Amino acid sequence: MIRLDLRHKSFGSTSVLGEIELEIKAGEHVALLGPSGIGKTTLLNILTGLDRDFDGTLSSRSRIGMVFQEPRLLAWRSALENLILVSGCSKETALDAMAAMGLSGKEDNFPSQMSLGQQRRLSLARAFAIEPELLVLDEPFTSLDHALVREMLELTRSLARSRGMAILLVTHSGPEADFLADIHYRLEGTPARLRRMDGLTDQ
Amino acid sequence: MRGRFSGEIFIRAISIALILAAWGIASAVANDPQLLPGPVPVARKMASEAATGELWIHLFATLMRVLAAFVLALAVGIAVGMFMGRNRTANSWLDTLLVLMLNLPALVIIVLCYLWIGLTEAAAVTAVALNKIPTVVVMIREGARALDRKLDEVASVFHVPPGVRIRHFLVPQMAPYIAASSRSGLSLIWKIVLVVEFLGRPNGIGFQIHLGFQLFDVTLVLAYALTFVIVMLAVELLIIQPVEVRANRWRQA
Repeated sequence: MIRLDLRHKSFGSTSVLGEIELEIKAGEHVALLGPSGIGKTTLLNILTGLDRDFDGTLSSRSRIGMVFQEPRLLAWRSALENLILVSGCSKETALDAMAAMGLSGKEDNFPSQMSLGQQRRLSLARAFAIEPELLVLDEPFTSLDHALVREMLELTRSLARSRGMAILLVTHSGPEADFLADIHYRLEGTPARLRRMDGLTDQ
Repeated sequence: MRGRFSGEIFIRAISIALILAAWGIASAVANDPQLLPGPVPVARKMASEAATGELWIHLFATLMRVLAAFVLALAVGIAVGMFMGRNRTANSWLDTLLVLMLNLPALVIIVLCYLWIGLTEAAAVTAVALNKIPTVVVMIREGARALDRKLDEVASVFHVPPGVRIRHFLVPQMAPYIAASSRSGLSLIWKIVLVVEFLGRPNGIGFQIHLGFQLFDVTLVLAYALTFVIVMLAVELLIIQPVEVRANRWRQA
């Protein structure tokens, strides 16, 4: 579904990523772990097609829904418009996605009228609204309280399973990775390479 | 909110009355209707010019020039400003020209346009637009530089179509900059339009002011000048401010 053969990625003279092979098949749930600053987001930008300036090949035919570290909403459009405009979905799909995230009744709110937790759930709803084959999550649960993280993890897992979508989760939290993904990779070294980990994370 | 609003209108009304009173007193003290006519003779002149239809002909001619120059300046200024703000190489190349244009006196541009293009309507509108374009470019370039790249990434990942990107991602972010350049644009443009008319047009407020200047008719000059100030204030209050309030609604939410 998505396959990356990366030979090398650098910013100027700084080498960030070394040789990396990564393939995600339909329905697979993959977690990408590693300390901050190692290049997780850089790898993600390459995988999602945001960064094309790298040495290697990417083949991706899948529709990607992405949840960023920050909610990244259109502050000047209502919650519902945010979903419809960005994902291009119908109003019904948008309303369903909002309801699934427990955001019913917030349709007309501007993002600034919502709590950070609600904004993050809206950004998750937006990713689901395009009915993606691959859901990419870039540390989407940082700075949320535990109860909310738990709730969002469960929502994400059940929705992804019921719709058979693949997941790529970037995180530095072992428990999150354990909960959401079956396949764990760790990014380490300089320049960073991928190491597949067996079983549960050691973090 | 309503109370504060009506309070503001009250203060405005008082301040206008005070300005008129000061003008009346100054004219009474000067005691020379030729040099400084009071508000009443000027208002009478406005009424008589309006009654003959002269006022409307010249007002309309000027407004059309303002509108044409405004649209031209904004269209070109926005396009060039966006281009320079988004493209560093383009900015390096064009910045010198921009600085040159910013520092070229309005009068020089007007005279050169008349000399090169001729004493035509096209020359007049071009001269006014050329005076305004550089300041629009500067403001729009600022806005283009401040665009949120993170939202660009959202649009890319989600394959948002170009039309939606422009209308819902780009325009709302640029709106404050476009509004600011429209606002400052309008006030600069109408002042320059008068100069252009003064120097080389057979009609318009500027032409009438030229006539008043030659006849030493201060009443005529003031009557036409005030009419135009009133019209431009109305444009500001009835068009520009409501549009701005609408564009900024989400900020107050």
